Amino acid sequence: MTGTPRTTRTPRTTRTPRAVAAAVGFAAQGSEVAVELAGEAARLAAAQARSAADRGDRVLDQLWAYSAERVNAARAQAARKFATAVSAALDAAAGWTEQAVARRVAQDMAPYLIDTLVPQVVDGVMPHIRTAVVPVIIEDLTADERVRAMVAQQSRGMLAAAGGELRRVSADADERVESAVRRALHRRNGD
Amino acid sequence: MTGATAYAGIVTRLSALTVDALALAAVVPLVGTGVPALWSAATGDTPGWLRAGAQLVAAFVPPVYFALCWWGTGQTLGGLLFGTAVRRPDGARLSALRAVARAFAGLAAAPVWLAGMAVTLWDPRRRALHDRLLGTVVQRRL
Repeated sequence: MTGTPRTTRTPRTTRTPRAVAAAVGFAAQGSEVAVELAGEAARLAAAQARSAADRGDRVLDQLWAYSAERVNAARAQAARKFATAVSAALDAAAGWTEQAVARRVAQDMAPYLIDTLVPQVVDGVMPHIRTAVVPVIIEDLTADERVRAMVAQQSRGMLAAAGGELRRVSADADERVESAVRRALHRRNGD
Repeated sequence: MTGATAYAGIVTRLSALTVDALALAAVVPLVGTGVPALWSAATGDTPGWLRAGAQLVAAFVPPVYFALCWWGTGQTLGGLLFGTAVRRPDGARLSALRAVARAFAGLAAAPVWLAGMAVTLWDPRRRALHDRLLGTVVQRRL
C-alpha cells in the first residue's frame, strides 16, 4: 500500500469558513434586499395610506356637504310650511274678526258717527278749511305749471273739437245744398 | 271737387263771410268813432279833420283787412274758424295785387259778389264768379 497515491484533502477547517462566508454573504445581500424591499413596501404602504386618507377626507367632505344641503332644504321646507300655516291662520282669524267683530262694531257705531260725531267734526273743521286750507290749495293749483298746461291743453282740445265739428257740419251743409240744387235742376230739365 | 283738394261750398263760404262781417261790424265803428270820442273826452271838442280822418281810416279797414289776410295766409277770421283758405288754382298763395283786387272788388260790388256765389253750386271746383274772374279758389281743410 505504499504506492497508493495520496489524495490531497482540503481540511474541513478551511471549507467551512468559505461556506459560512458565502452563507453570510448571501445572508447579508438578502438582508439588504429585504431591507430595500421592506423600505419600498413601507413607502408604498405610506403612499397608499395617504391616498386612502385623502379619499376618506373627500368622502367626508362630500358627506358633510350633502348633509348640510339636506338640512338646509328641510329647514326651508319647514319654514315655508310654517309660513303657510301662519298665513292661513291669520286669514282665518281676520275673516272671523271681520265677520264677528268689525262688522258689528261698525253697525253699532254708524248711527253715532253719522248723526253726532261727523257733523261735529265737520262743523268744527270747515271754517278752518275754508279760510286756511282751500286758498292754499287753489293757489298751489293755479301756480302749478303742470295744472296750467293741462287746463290750456284741455281748452285747446275743446276749441279744436268745436272747430272740427263746425267745419264738418258746414261741409255737410255744402253737400246737401248742392245736392238739392242738382236735383231741382234735373227735375226742371226733365219737365 | 277735383283730386285730393277739397273746396269750400256756398254754406261754408257764406258762414265764414258772416263771421268776418260781424267782426268788422264791431271794429269799424270802434275805429271810426272811438278815436274822435277819446279826443273829445280829453279836450272837450273833436276837430273836423280828426273825425274825417277816422272815418276814412274806418272805411279802409275792411278792404285792408281782407287784402292782408288773403295775401298773408289766405285766411280771414271766418276762414280760420271754418277751415277755408283762398289760394290760386295751383295751391299757391295770392299775390298782394290779386289780394287787393279781390278785396276791393268784393266790397265795391258786394251784391254782385254775393250773387256770384251761386256759381259755386255747379262749378266743379266750387268757384264763385269773382273766383273765376280773379283766378282764385277757396280750399277747405277739414
